[in-house]
Order: sequence, then structure tokens, then C-alpha cells
Amino acid sequence: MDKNDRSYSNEEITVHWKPKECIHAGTCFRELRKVFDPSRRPWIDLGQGTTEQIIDIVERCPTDALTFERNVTNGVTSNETSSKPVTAEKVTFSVMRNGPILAEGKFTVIKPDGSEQEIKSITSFCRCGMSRTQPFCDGTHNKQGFFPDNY
Amino acid sequence: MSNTQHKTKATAFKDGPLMIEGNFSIKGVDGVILSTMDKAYLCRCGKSANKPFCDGSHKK
Repeated sequence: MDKNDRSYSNEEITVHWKPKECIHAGTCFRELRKVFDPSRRPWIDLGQGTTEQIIDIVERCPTDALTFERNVTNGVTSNETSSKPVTAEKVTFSVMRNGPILAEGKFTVIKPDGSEQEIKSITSFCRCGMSRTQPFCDGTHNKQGFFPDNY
Repeated sequence: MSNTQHKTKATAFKDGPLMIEGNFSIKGVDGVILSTMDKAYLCRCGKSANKPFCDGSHKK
């Protein structure tokens, strides 16, 4: 566990947040801003949405940055937790609105210096030119506003 | 050759686009598939008028 990891609970579930796993796809704050608000501290407030809404968003987080588990009630644990299988022969590159390109699948990245990196399941590529971890996204576009057009 | 794993490559060119080769698809922000070609060049600088594809604007 990383020292920056956090957990947030409501009466039914506990959401775990691992910032090092985040690839800044932005699904959480775009679709459920009341709960996931990067400008607020703490940025996750489970009291602002229903458990169903929160689980839906957590399950659509493309990495394990957001996961959840059911809370123990009356000594009975539920085995239901989020799982994010990533299957791919074909690699899918999804353009995120005002955000990076989300790449899902197994493939090889060749960086500008010629070095290679194997991607096992998922990564995201910078589209705004401002990331400091090129060619990957580091979330800088959120600070800069990125560009105003749809893509 | 049915095993296509690791066949796909993404090459980030210095001061240039991201070239995708192999078995892949590209989806737009609305989830619609934009390209089914076996090679694509994606904008990496934010300046292309043809996003998400490269149009050479990075050279200007």
C-alpha cells in the first residue's frame, strides 16, 4: 500500500483510491462530479451520490485507481468487489474528450529515444503536448484546460 | 498467425505524432470507431485541425 492511498466509506461500501494507478481518464469526475471533485479536499465525498451511482463509476475506472468493497454487515462479508478484467488481442485506442488517448490491450510502445516499453493492459497517451511523462499522460491537461474543441 | 498479442505497436516520434500499427481500433469521444485501417497517426501536440489524427500542424 502506498502512503498516498486513501479509503472512503459510506454505510454500504468502501472506495479505495490509489493515486499512483490513476491514468487520468477522467470518467469519475466528468460523470459524477458531486462525488469525485478534484478541486475539493478530500476529493471523494461518498455522501454526494448513491451507492449504485458510485459503484457504476468505480467499475468504469479503467485502472485499479478506484476500487470498492462491500462493508461488513452483521458479521457477514460479501465477496462482491470490483474486478476489471482487461482482455485484448485487438488494442483499442479511445479518445477522451479534452483528455488523453486511453489504450487498452497488449502492445509495444516505442518512445522518441528508441526505447521500448511493453504495455500489459492499459495506458494513456498525452494529446495536449504538455505532459512531463511523454508520450504518456500525466494529467497536466487538467491544469491547462487543454483545447476547447470536441476532440 | 492467429495470435496477435504484442503485434500492435505505438511509436511516438520525436516532435511528431503517435503512429499506431497492427491490430487496433480507434474510438472517438462518442465511442464511434474512427479508423479501421492498419496504420494511423495520432496528434500528440494538440494543434491538429483533424484531431485525433495528425495533420502536420506540429511543424508550423
